[in-house]
Amino acid sequence: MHSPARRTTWAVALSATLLLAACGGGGDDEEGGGSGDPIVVGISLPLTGDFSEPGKGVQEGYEAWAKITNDKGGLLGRQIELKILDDQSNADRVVADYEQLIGSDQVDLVVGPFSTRLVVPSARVAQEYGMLFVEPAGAAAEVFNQGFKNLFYAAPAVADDHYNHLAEYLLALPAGQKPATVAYAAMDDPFAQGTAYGLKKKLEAGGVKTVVNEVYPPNTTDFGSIAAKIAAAKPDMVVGGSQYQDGVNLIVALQQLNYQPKLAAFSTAPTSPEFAKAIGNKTEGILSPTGYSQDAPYESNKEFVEKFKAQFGKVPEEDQANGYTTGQVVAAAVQAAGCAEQGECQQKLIDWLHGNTVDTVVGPLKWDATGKPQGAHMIQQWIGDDIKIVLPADAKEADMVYPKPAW
Amino acid sequence: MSEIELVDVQAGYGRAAPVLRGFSVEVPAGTVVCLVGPNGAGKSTVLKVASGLLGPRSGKVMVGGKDMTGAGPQKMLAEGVALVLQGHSVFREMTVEENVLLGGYTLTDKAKRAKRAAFVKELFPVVGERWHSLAGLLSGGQQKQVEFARSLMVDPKVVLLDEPSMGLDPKATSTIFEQVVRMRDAGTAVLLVEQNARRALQTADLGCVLDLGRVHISGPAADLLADPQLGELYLGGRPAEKPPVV
Amino acid sequence: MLVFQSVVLGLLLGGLYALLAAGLTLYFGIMRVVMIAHSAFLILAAYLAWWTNDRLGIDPLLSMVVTVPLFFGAGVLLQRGLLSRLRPATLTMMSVLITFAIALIIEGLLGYAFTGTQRRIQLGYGTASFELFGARVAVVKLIAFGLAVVSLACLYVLMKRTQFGWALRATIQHPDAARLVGIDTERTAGFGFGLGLATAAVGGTALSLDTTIYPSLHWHWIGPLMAIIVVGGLGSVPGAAAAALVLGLAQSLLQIPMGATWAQTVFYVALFATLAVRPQGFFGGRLAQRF
Repeated sequence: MHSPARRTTWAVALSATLLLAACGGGGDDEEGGGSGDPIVVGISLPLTGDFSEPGKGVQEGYEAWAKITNDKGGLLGRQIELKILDDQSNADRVVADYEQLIGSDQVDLVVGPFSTRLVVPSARVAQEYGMLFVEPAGAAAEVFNQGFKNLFYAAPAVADDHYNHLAEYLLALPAGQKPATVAYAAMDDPFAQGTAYGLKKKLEAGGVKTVVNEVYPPNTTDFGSIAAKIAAAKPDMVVGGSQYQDGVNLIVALQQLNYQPKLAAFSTAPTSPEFAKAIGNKTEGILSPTGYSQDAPYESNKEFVEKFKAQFGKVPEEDQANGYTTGQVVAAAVQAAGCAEQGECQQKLIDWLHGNTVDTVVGPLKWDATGKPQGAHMIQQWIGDDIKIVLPADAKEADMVYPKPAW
Repeated sequence: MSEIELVDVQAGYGRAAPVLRGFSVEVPAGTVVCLVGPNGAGKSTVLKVASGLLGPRSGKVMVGGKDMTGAGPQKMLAEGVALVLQGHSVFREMTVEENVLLGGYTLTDKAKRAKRAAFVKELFPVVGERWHSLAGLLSGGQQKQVEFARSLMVDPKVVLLDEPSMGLDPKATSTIFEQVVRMRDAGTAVLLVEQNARRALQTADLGCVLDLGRVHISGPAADLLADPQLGELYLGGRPAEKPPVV
Repeated sequence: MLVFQSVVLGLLLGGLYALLAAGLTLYFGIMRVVMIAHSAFLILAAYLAWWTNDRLGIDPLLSMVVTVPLFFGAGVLLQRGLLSRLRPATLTMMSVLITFAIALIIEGLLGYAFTGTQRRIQLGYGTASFELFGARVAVVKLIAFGLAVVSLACLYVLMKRTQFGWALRATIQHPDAARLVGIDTERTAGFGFGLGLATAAVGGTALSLDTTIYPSLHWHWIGPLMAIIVVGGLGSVPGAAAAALVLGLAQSLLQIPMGATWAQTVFYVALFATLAVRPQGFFGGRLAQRF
């Protein structure tokens, strides 16, 4: 869950160039085969450039999936082999990469890169070749209105639907308890804004009044004025369509003004491992939607967390889970269709996914005709010193605390 | 003994031909010496050499009998040679007080600085009157007097004045020349460069006509003023009447 | 109520702007150079403060013990070693290029050393605040403002009451005359530059207390700061301070009706208005005429 609108700076460009020189050639060593023994999965990822950080996370997810699957005997009795190219976060490059993977390297399957900006052009290439295209990270609306028939987003929900569980919960509250007024502050970014506005649309339809609606540029560092506006309006609830740092800054600014809402929900930031320390542990009751939790009670999740830890020496985060989920979705289709190669097989895979639900580490996934997932994110809440799943009811680790205690 | 003396100086800029070609001048103690001459004769260059801003290619610069050839402006200042630039050179956004006291920047003795400040205030009454004003707000003539006062803070042997009346109205010009005389009477020799040659020679004790980098003629200012040929050539016509004795 | 809160926030922000603009004003006054790298040094100081806190675990304010003298020295070196060697005819143009390059180098090194990740100092008192006539005042913002006020006061006393301050002002106002009263103008100019850069050290530390920093952040500061020094009258420290307070206040108040994105444009509107209506600036300062 990262913004496609990362800052492009000289510094990043410089370090990207250095990094590229340092890792040049990496990943090209493996020999791609046709439909021989192993199943070759072609991937292009932004391992350098703007998206290198999440790109590497997704790569780990893919690697974990390949290893865990191979350790269990592979898919259809064949070993999985990943062929990963670096697209340098560049949309032209990503197209060339997939053309190479499908056309000249003759890989058996392809899966997606990271971020909307790179997913759309690469999905188009896959579509031309009639390939199934499951992708881990294109959550913005434009991915789903391109008319792709072969695309599936391997996550529970697109940005607009992240808060669906919370909206349902709040609208079901009795009239006296339901929050009456809400303030929204969202970064000017399709993903971050999408989360807040998805909730806004549903709450407004349910009669909850919007009293503040602020959009701030991604480079904003001073949140004093926005916070002042929110605090002055004294809404029952505050919703932040945030990435990481802006979310932290906004919360700190609100706390500096001693504003105490009944409910506070922010995207992305509260699920980060550094969050509590960043706001001086005043996290009490903060909500956040999350696409993935290491504690989620889904069957394959336990195995994933355990084996991932063994392989990489750390727990998986959302980027890694997204990559892993993508692998799981493809594997389910391959197993059901009984084939994994270019040609007619691909349409069988696509058709199967359109008609079925796949159990993954982020829960059961199913898709509409555009490849948009039909779920919602889990809602986590800071209770005590820990963030716990509170919604939906079937996955919860704790009951939601509402109204929230003072922070 | 003269306060400052330039002996057979050759000087110029870069690789160009010298502007001064064997120029000599002498400023005896207690006198005002005025340099006149047409534009480009080298008047300003004389002051640059005398103040240490420009080193001579050959010849000597003597201050109080001491050879100071090649010394920079700070050494010349320490030796008692102060230069007042042409045009306005007060520190505009500082008060008159700050301007004058900065004139004594090199004085380490605070008591001496205060004594000199009291002295120049008395010498230039207007400086005392406008003591707390911003210098940039003063009239042109007043600013010039602040510059004089500033240059006198170090108790120099000789003050070099570069076109002090430039841009001033006749009344302010008269005041300025009166102040030049007061400076001399207070014990500071003056080397004066002026476009307004006739008026300057009326003030000066000695005159020196400079042309093409050499001394054309020199002598008592009154004699130069009375010389009809010089009047034609350098002073803008004959004097209408006999100049007043200053 | 919201208006009063915004006024308080605007003044707190304006104080920081004033300190930072003071440094830029000094450079411009001394050499007529436009110091693009000023805000890069600001961010560098903020990073050093963050690093001090994050790695050494001590209060970020203590980093100034090192950064202020360090930046002073860097300023002197920059002026003596680089800028004073430029030919006067090309000084303005070349100084822009050189300081632009320095800004890029600092940004690149910060990115290399600390990555592009956004950083924020985590302080125990980060969210503490108190009430003042109904407005909330955050302790960190007040500390930042206090730093700015104390530094500006020190700068004022230094400029008005010390021998060095007088020499520096004289050098700025009339370098030739300053030389003639015996001031070593080159050394003074170097120290003046150091002083300007020292304000960046204090400002960066103040900035780091309550904001997120990342290597390219300086580009968001240099524009408003340039606008402030032009509106304040190039070369006038009090003018820059007044303009900083007014524009900081305007930015804060305009956010109420216009939102964060458009409120930022107040600086550029003020810049264009100043250039069109009153190029010498609105708050004194006469150097613009010589620009």
